Amino acid sequence: MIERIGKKRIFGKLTGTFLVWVIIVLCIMPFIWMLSSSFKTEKDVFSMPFRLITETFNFNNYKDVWFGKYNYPQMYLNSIKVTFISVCLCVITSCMAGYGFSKLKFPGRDKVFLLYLATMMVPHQLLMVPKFLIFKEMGIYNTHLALILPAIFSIYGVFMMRQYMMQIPEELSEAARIDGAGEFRICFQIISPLCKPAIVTLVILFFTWTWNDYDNALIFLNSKELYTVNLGLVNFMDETGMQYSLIMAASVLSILPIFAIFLFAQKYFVGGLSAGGVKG
Amino acid sequence: MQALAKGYAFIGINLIGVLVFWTLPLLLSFLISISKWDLSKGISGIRIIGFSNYIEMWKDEWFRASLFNNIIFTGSYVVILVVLSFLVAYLMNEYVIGKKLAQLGLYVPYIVNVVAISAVWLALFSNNGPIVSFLRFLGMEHPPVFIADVHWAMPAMIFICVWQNLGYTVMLFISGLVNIPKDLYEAADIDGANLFAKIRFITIPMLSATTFFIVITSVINSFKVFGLINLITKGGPGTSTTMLVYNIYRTAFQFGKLEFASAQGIVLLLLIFVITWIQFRAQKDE
Amino acid sequence: MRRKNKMAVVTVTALVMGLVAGCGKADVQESSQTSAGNEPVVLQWWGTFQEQQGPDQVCEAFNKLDPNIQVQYTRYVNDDAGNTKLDVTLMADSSVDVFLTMNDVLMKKRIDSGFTFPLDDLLSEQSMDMQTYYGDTAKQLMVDGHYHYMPAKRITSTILYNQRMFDEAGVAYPEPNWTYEEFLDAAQKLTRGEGQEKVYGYMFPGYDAGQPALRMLEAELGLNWMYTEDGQHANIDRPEVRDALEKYLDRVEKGIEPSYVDVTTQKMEPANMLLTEKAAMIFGDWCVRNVKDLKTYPHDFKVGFATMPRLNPDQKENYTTSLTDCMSISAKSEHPKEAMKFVKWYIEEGMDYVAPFARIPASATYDEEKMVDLLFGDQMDLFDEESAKSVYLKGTDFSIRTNLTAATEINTILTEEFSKAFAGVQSVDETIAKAQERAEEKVAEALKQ
Repeated sequence: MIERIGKKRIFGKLTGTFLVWVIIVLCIMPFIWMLSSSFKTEKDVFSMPFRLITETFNFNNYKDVWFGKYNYPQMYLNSIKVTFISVCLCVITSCMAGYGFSKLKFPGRDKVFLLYLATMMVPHQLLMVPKFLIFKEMGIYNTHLALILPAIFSIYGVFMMRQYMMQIPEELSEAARIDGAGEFRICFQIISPLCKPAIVTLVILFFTWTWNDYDNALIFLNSKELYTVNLGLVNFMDETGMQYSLIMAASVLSILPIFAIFLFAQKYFVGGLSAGGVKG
Repeated sequence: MQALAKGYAFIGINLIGVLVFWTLPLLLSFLISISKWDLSKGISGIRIIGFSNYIEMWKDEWFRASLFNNIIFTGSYVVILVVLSFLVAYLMNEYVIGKKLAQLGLYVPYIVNVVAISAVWLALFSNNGPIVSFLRFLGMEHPPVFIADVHWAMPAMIFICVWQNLGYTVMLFISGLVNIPKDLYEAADIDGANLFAKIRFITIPMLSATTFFIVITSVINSFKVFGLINLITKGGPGTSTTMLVYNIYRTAFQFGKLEFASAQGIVLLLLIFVITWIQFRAQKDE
Repeated sequence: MRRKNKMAVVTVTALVMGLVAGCGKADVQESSQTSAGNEPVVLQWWGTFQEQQGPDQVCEAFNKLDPNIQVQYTRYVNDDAGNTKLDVTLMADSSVDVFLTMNDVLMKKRIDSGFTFPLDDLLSEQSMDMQTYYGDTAKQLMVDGHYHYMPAKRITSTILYNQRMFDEAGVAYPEPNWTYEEFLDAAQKLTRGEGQEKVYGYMFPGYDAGQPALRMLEAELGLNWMYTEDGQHANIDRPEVRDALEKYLDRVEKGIEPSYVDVTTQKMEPANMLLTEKAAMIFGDWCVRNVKDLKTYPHDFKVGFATMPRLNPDQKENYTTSLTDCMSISAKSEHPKEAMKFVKWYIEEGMDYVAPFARIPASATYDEEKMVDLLFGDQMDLFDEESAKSVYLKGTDFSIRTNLTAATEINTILTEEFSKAFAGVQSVDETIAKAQERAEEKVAEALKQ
C-alpha cells in the first residue's frame, strides 16, 4: 500500500514537473532570445537557423547604449531614487490603511473602501490631463515628486493589505487590546509582522511598478536630467529606429536591476510565503 | 466616535493622498465629461452642458467596437488566466521538482517593463521572426502573421497578456495553497477521497478569497489594458484589437475630443464598478 | 470625542499640506532665480528633433547674437504622448514661447484651440512679407485670414534609389516625371531573390496603412483629394483611389514591394533597406541624412533621386512638395516680440544649422547653391548631383493641406479599412465603399459642430 502511494507520487511528480517546466521554458524563451540578440550584430538577429551565440558575439551593443549619448548611468540613479522613496513610504501608508480597513470598525468604513475600489479601476490615461493641471498648480510638474507622491498612495497596496489582514484572526488583535495595547502598537508590532509575506510581495510589486512606470514619467517629466530608465529606453528606440540588436541590449539593461532585486528577494519571497505567517 | 477617530487616523494620510491624486482628477474629468471645453481658456474655459456627451458617444463606431472587443478580451483572458494559473500553482505546490527556480522563471515576464516586452514580441511575431519561421519549418505554407492578421491579432494579444501575468497569479494562488491546513487533506485521505474530490471540496473553497482577489484584479486590469496595445498593434489591424482605454486615449489625444473621452472613461468606470460591487456583495454573503 | 476626531484630521491635513507646500516653495525659488534682476529674456523653444541634430547648434549660434535674448531648446517626441505634453503645457501656462509642429493636422488643432499667437502684427513690425519667403504658396498658409505659423522646412515626396543596382540590372535611371508604367517596369527588373536574399524593387515606410497606395495619388491630386471640391463631403469612393489601391495590391502580389504588414511587423526602415541593399528604391527624403552617415551604413554606391511616378500620364501637375516644421508662437508667451525675432532668424539663417540633417530650408531666401552646400557639403560624391538638384531640391508643384475636416479620423478609417484589404479579408470595392461611408459620417459630424 505504502509502496503504491509512493509510486503514484513519483509518477505525479514527474508528470507535474514536466508539464510545469514546459510552460516555464515557454515563459522565458522570449528573454533568452532577447539576451542572445543583444550580443549579435543587427544582421544576425533574424538569421536562420536560430543560433544562441554567433561568431560575432560581442559587447558592442552594450557599450553603445551605456556609454552613448543617452546618459544611462544618470537615468539609473534617477530611477533608483524615485523607486526607493516611493516604495518605502508606500508600504507604510498601505499597512496603516490596510489595518484601518480590516481591523477597525468605524462609520463609513465600507463606503470609503468602495470609493477606493472605484478609484482603483480608473484607467489612468483618463486622468492624465487633470493630473497635469493639478501638478502644475502644486508646482511639482517636472520634478521627481510628480512621480513619487502619487505612487505613495497606492490603492492597490491598501487593497492587498486589507485582504491579507482580513485573514488574520480577530482574536489576535482583541487579545492585544485586552492587554491594553494601543492601535498603533497592534498595527505595527503585532499585525504587520504577521503580514511579512504580503509586505515582501508588496515591496517587490511596487518596486517593479515604479521602476517600470513609463506613462507617468513621459507626461510629468520634461528635463532630460530627470529622465528615468524606461523613458530613456523609449527615447532610445525612438532615436535609433528599429535596430533590434541595440534595442535588445537597452532592454536587457533596463530589466537587469529589477531582475537582480528580484533574485535577491526571491529567498524572502518564497520563504515568507511557505513559512505561512498566518495559519488559516 | 472614538472608533471614528481611530479609523481615520489610520486611513487618513492615505485617504488624503488618494483624494488629491486620484479622486480630484477623477472629479475634474467627470466635470469635463459633462462640458464643452474651450481649451485656450484653460480650466475657466469649461462650460457645463449636461449629459449630451454620454448620448452622443454611443453613435461612435470606435467606442462600440472597443467595448465589444474588450468584453471578448476580458472574458477569454480572465478565464484562461485563472484556470491556467490555478493548474500550474496546484502542480507546482504538490509535485514539481525545483519549485523555487520554476517560480522564478514564471515570474520573469511580470517584472519586465512593457516597452521591452513589446519590443521582444514585435520581433518574435514578425514575418521572418523565429515563430513564423518555426511554423514554416513545420511545413505550414502560409503561417498567420499574428499581430498583423485580423483574426489572429486578438488571440495573440490575449496570449501575450496571459503570458505576462501568469507568474503573478500563480504566485498568489501558491500563497493561498500554502495556507490551507494540511490536516484537512489528511482527514480527506482517511475518508478515502480521491484527488478531484479533494480539489473540488477542499482546495477550491479554501481558495475563494484568493480567487476573488485574482478575478477582480484581472477583470479590472483587462479593462485597462493599454500599453501593449499602444506599442504593438495600435488597435489594428482594422478595429480588431481596439479596446476601451486605447480608444479613450485616442479620442482624447489624437482626435482632440477630451469631453467624449472623459465620458467614455466614466462609463468604463461605472461598468467596472458594477462588476466589482456584485462580487463584493457575493463575497460578503458567503 | 468629537474633538479628538477633528484633531486627527487636522494633524493629517497639516502633514500633507506641509509636504505639498514644501514642493511649492522649491518651485517658487526656482522660478524667481530665472526672472530676477536685469536678466535676459529666455525664450523656451520646443521642437521634435534631437538636440544634436540641429537645435544645439541653433541655440549656440543665436545666443551669441544678442545677450539679451537667449533661447533654450526642449525636445518633445512627435507621438501622441509627446504632443499631448506640448498641448497641455501650452494650455496651462507661459512656459513655452516658440514651438515647432511637424504635422499639419496638429497645427490646425493648435490654431483652433487658440494656442497660437497670430503673427500678422508681429510680421509687419519686423517688416516681413510672407511672399518673400514662400512666394505664391504664402496665401495657402493663412487660416481664417491670419498667419499663425511659418514653415521652416520643405518636405518632398522623393524616391531615393541605388544607382549601382540600376546599372547592374541594365535599367535606365528614372526620367523626371516618369510614368507609373516606367516605374513599375524598373521596379520589376530590380526585384530579385527570396528569403534573406530578397531585394525589393521599391519600398514604402510603414506609416498609416493608406499611405503606400495613396502617396502616388497625392502626387496626382494634391493633398486635399479626400474631400469634394466644396469641402462638404468625403470623396474616397472615386476611380483614382480604386486604381491606386489595385496598383499597390498588384505590386505586393508580384513581390516588388513589401506589404504593409511586412513593413510594420518587421519594422522595415527605408534608410536601412536602401543602404543595406535590400531595396533598390525607397520612399523618404529624410533618408539623405542616413546616406551621409557612413559610420552606421558603410556603402559604396551612389544614391539618385526620382519624383513620384505619374499615375496618369496626362496629369498637369505632379505635387511632390509641401511645407512643414511649422514655427509658431504661444498665445500665452510673455515675450512674443522676442520670439518673433527668433522665428525670423531661424527661418532666414537658423536653418543653416539644421539643413545638414536633411531638412531642406523652406524659405525662398535660400538659393540653390547654398542649399546644395548645406545639405550635401563635401559628401556630394555619395549622391547623383544632377537629380539631387533637379528633383530633391527643386520645390515646384506645391500642395498644402487646407482642408483638414476630421482628418485624423479619416486617416484612422483608411488605415483600418485598407489593412483589411491588404490582409485579403475584404475586397477592394467593399474597402472603398466602407471607407467612404465611414469617412462621410465623420465629416458630417465635424461640420455639424
